Amino acid sequence: MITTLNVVIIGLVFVIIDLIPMYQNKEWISFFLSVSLLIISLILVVLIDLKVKIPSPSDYIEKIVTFIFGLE
Amino acid sequence: MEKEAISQKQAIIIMSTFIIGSSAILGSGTKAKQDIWIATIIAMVMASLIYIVYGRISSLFPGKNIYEIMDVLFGKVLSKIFLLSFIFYAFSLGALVIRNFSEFVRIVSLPETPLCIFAFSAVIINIWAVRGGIELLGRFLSIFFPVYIIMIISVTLLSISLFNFDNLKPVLYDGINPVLSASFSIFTFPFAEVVLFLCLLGNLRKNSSVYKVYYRSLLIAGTLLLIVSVRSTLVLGIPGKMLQNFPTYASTRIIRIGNFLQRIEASVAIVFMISGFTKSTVCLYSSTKGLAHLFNIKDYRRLAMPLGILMALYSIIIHEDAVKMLEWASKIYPYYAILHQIIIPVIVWIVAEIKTLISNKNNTTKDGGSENAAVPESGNL
Repeated sequence: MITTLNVVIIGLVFVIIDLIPMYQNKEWISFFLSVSLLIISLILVVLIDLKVKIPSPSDYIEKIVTFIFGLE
Repeated sequence: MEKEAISQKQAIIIMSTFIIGSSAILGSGTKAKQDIWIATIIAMVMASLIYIVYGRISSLFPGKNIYEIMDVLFGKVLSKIFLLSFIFYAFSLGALVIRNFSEFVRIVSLPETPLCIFAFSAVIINIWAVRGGIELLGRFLSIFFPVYIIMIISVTLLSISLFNFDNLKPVLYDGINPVLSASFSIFTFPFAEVVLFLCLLGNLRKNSSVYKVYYRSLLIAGTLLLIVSVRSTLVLGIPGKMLQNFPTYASTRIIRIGNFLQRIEASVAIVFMISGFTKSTVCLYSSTKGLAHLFNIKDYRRLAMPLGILMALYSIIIHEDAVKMLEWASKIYPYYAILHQIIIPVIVWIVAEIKTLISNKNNTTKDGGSENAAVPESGNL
């Protein structure tokens, strides 16, 4: 819950400071990129708070590195 | 948007603080045990070699960052692949640094507090710094860096009474292999991480030398890291050091001068947090700038906040716990970092040299070798 709250608060600040001016100035690429990043963050944070195990890229990196360099 | 510019001195300060970064807290190259000083010196020599490549890339394209250079060298498709890989490296390194410091604060002082509180507290300041621009970071560190150095030196002087020089003996007891392995670890974490400065040194003011920035930073940060790692070995000894997750903090903790000067570790930890802040800010800056370049967005600052939030979340999910984090940092990270710290820069450097050579030849042929022959676009060597 607390993680979601953090993201929502920072996200709201972001919407007020940046997102609305971006929309008004018709900076569409920045606008849509920021909105998509924010949506990904919101989905992630809800999953984190619901204690869903999210696969971390570091596990895959570990597997690749172990495979290539033959580490134990 | 106005082009930002930092002075040579500011760049040196930012880079030195960046290099000290999280390795001052975590310690690196523990495999070398009592020979940590040899490993650090070898790592500095290795770093000085790769800095020639980094410096040459920056000086061949003055005023350009690595993303612009990749565009020039590799065309649209291939450059995007390199760019994405570089952005992910900067992003994941930032997340790792935030996680390191979050775990540090949680383990040493606030065990009940959720991890996200530390991550978001750190990221808010990073976002603020990135939005302020790299000049802001330079000015901030110009004030704090002397404090930083004074703190490290004074803590070392205060712990002289605890030094046991037998802790550094026997030299090379386990042979040279563990030392070389440790020096490779120290080379990748933290020395070669300055590859991220290829995105930043494009903002260096004219008449500044990128080589001076790289080598002076290496000398300052390398010496400070050497002092810190040798101090913790001298104070704690090898068994004591191996038991600690944060050896530098532990060695500061036991300083006691009479009854009036003790428990100074908190103030030292705060000073070390500055280096963590610098490192994660540079990472966020590089990834934000890369993403803005990828999508052709003029004002990169607009992306700092959404990317910062994502970085904080990534720092939470990147590792399950502190044990896994420390294990990953020591065993996997050095090999993972090779791609971005050595392979990609070397490819960029070779292609840049070839292209410069070809364009020079073309220019000379066009002008018939006249006095007006185009001079290669190179900076201070």
